Amino acid sequence: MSRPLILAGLRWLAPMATSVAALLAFQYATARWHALALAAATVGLNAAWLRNGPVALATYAIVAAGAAIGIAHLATPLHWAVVVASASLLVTVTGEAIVEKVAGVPPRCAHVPGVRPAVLTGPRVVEIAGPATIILSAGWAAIGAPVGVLATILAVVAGYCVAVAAWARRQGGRWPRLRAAVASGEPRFMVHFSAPSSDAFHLLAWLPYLDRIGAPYVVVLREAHSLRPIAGRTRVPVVVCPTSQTLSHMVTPTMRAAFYVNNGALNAHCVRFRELTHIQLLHGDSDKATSYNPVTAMFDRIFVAGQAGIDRYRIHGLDILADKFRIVGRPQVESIQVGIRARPQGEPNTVLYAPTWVGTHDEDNHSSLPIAPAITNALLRRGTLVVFRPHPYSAHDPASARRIAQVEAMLADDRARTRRMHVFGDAATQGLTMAECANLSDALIGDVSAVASDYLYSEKPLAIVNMGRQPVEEFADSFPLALAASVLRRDLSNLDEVLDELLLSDSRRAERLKWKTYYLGPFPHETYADAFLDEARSYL
Amino acid sequence: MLPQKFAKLFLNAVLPTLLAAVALVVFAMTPRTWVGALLVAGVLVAGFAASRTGARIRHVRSSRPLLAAAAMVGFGRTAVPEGAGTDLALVIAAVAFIVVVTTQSVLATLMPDRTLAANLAGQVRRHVFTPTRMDMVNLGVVVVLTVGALTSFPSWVADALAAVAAAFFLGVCAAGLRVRIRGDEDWAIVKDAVKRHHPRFMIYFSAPPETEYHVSMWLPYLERVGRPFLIVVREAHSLPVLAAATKSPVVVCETADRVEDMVVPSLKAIFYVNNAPKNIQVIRFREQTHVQLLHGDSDKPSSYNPVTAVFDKIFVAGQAGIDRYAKNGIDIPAQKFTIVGRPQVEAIQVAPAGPIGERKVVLYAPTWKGVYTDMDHCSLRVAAPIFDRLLQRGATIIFRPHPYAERDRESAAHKWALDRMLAQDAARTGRRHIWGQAATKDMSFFDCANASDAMVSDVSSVASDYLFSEKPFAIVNMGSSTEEEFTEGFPLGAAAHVLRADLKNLDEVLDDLLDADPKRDERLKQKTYYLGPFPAEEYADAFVEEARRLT
Repeated sequence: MSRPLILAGLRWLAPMATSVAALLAFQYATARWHALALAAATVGLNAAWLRNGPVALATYAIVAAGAAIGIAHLATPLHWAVVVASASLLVTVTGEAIVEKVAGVPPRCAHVPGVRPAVLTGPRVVEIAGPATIILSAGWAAIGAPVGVLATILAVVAGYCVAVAAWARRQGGRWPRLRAAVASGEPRFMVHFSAPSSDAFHLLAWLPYLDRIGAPYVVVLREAHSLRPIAGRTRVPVVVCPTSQTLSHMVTPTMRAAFYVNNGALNAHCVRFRELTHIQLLHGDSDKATSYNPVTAMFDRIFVAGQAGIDRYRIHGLDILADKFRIVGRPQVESIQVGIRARPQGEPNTVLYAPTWVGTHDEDNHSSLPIAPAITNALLRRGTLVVFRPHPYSAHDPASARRIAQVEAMLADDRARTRRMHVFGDAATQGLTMAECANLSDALIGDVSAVASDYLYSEKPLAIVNMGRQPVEEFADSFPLALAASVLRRDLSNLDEVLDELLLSDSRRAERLKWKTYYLGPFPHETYADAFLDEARSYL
Repeated sequence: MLPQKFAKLFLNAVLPTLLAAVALVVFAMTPRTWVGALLVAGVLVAGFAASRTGARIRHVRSSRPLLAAAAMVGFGRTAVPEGAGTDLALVIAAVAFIVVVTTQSVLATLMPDRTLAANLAGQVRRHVFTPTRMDMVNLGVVVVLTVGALTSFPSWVADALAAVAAAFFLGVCAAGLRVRIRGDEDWAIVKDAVKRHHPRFMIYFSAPPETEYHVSMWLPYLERVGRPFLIVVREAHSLPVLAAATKSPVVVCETADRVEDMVVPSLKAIFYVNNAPKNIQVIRFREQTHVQLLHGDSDKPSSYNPVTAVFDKIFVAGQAGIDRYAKNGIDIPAQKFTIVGRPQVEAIQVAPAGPIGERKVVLYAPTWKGVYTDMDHCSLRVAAPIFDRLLQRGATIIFRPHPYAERDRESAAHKWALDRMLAQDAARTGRRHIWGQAATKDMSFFDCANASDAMVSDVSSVASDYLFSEKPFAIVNMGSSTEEEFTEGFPLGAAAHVLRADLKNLDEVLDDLLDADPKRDERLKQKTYYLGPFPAEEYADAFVEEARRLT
């Protein structure tokens, strides 16, 4: 049985048990301090674990009822103050859900000039009001203070909550304020991002180049979980728009275009704003299925790195008007150095081995990790230095993680024995960027993935592992990049030939340069990123 | 004034919670157990009523923990005499029962997706321990406890009841765990049954509740294709309506993985009826042809959504459906489009040529306000003077507002006032106006079209459907544009008598509509443009044959 399941169960059971115990303590126990302690425990557990889920609300309601009973015990027979206090308490506790509903989706944002996110979410005070009044009432019941005073305080708080709800409603929500603040920055475009929490790096890879466009812009996130990772890495306004209605607030009068970096499910909400040009950048450029997703057809412009990005759709039978495509290069590769590396005398060849991950679908699985130890072994036998950089997602797949550990152990072992300084582990995946890894190396062994086409930029030799069962010719039909590379068979029967080709003969250099243009566009190195920047500016 | 959804939330969630809280206080503090019992009964009735009106189950169940606490306290007060000390067994029973009740509302989220399917050959077992039954058990315990509070049962009864509830609760948990650990055996049965059904095509549907008609409007024509098919719905709430509407299998697939299991080798095409965000999870299967049908055909933005470009084939009623995209700056390759007509309108009878004369039955069919302001074409707020003038001219009116009109308070008020106008006039003149249920539920739009001689409507698909009848109609231009701008944005305006929102040309339009009818030739031209060049007798065949070719 899974641990998370048990933990989740405990997180529900604990506050529930304390809340029910508090209720019973208020009713039966003579020492009300126990009841107060239990009420406080419920609030604490909720704050720590449950936030404001339905269970938290239920437990608050139970404790509130208990506190009401406690107050009633203070003044027998039934006194008007008890009725007022109990009613106010219940209004405050249950009111929160209604305020949330009435006030609409709370805006969350960062770096919007003139807006303090905390002020914007003002009515959230109501959230604290519920637990606070519960503790107050429980404490009051415990020390037996005059009920009239408590009734007055509780009535004021309840009145405040009702007023906040009414205010939020009259404002038509807090979105117009946020919209005005965003609009005052006169943004010329937005970047629209809808993705699972693990995918923030897709957007982060583009932010430096969007900055270099030189026009004010807004980052629109569709899921709150992306706010923290994105807001920490940029200074431009970031707004979370969970619904399509809130999204419409961000389409300001000065805005001309919307950029997208993936095929997120909620992109469809945004492309219907016809006053904007919708431009898909995608987050990697490879022969994988994500680079010829039929969904890309919904955009007005599709920026691709080179002609390969266009042909890929046609090869896979997808009909998209040629007019939608623009070849802009892949600016992220500009930091890869071109040509043979200057290398200290006597230093052996360095091979970058960068296997991809298993993908979400079987047909997407191009990962060579299952044969990674054999490849590493062959490299070590030849005395090369190895830079080992697996895809970050591979850590989440147990089988892949085991292979990675195995390869890293082999490299550590060899380093200790031969003093060859292999680069692997965090040093390779966290300490270095992909470009830095490429710059350290003299050749690449990669899988079908963007790493291989990016490496073309360096003009150094590369090999691709064919993890499918098809022969080389068919493999090249599906993944044309194979024509620019040496293809390593999954049974490793041609491993020695491939390594000879990579490290010694390199007979395919001329052909590779042709493919470089095909994949990464015909742009000079010195001004490579300008192709993207100029094209992007033409839509603003 | 409070918006409707606020009132609904109050009725469904807040009122029962408040009543339950008061019941708890009454049981705990006062000797009047019958008041507490009445309040408990009130909560039960309110909850039942709310669940009948389709309220969110989460809302309906929010009062359960308090209700359980109230019943337990009431029971305890009666069972244990004052001053007898604490009955520990009773306290334990109370804690256990309240914990069960509170947890069960979140139990469903702990469970992996349930297997739900209908009209399948394979047998999916009926389970004993389901969250729904758990709720029934809990309510039963509450009822017995409340009766106990009134009549004094021995305290072991509460222990026994709590034990029953706890045992059932454990049963539900065990059933959920079993599925988690062993995998869903029911799903294997469903997969197998679908494979043996050899479906040639799939209808794929993801949508909010109460929009199942988007599918059911296409079902008769997809059934005429004469090939086995299945319906995949992404949300469980779509199942009951669609299962009743067809004999073909309907399977709920709440995750993308489950959809993948439904894409069996025999499948040649997948049909879509809307542009739901979840559609893109299915488009990636390249062995099948992905066909977008959409569920209405009008000059509204939903009929030229850029997202439609992602499909392999886009079926449109007529050339108008193609031009609309280009006109709005959306580039889609021409070969993706197929003109197939709009088979649903075959139910509309084509009227003979000639002036209306004395008959004068006028259908008024306005649209709704839409979600976005650029989609608000609703003319309900200017309809009263139109009705006035029509009634003066001796017309009989059929009033059929859009089913969503009542979602908006203002529209609902207008609708109500119009209903009353018709009722009063019918009483005075004896003319047989049709409104309310009779026009919206008892008659379909096509019945209304056939019963009428002319129509007044808004920019919406009813106008293009009405073209099929060749009868005259007027469209209310609710925007601020001139008539030229209007017909540019909504080409159908050229075939209609365009009524201005300020009604300055109301008399002219009614003259044209009911007598002169100068636009008949233009209308026939637009009929082909909007509904395709197919003869009326075998109109639906165009669609059926095209669909058959792809399956």
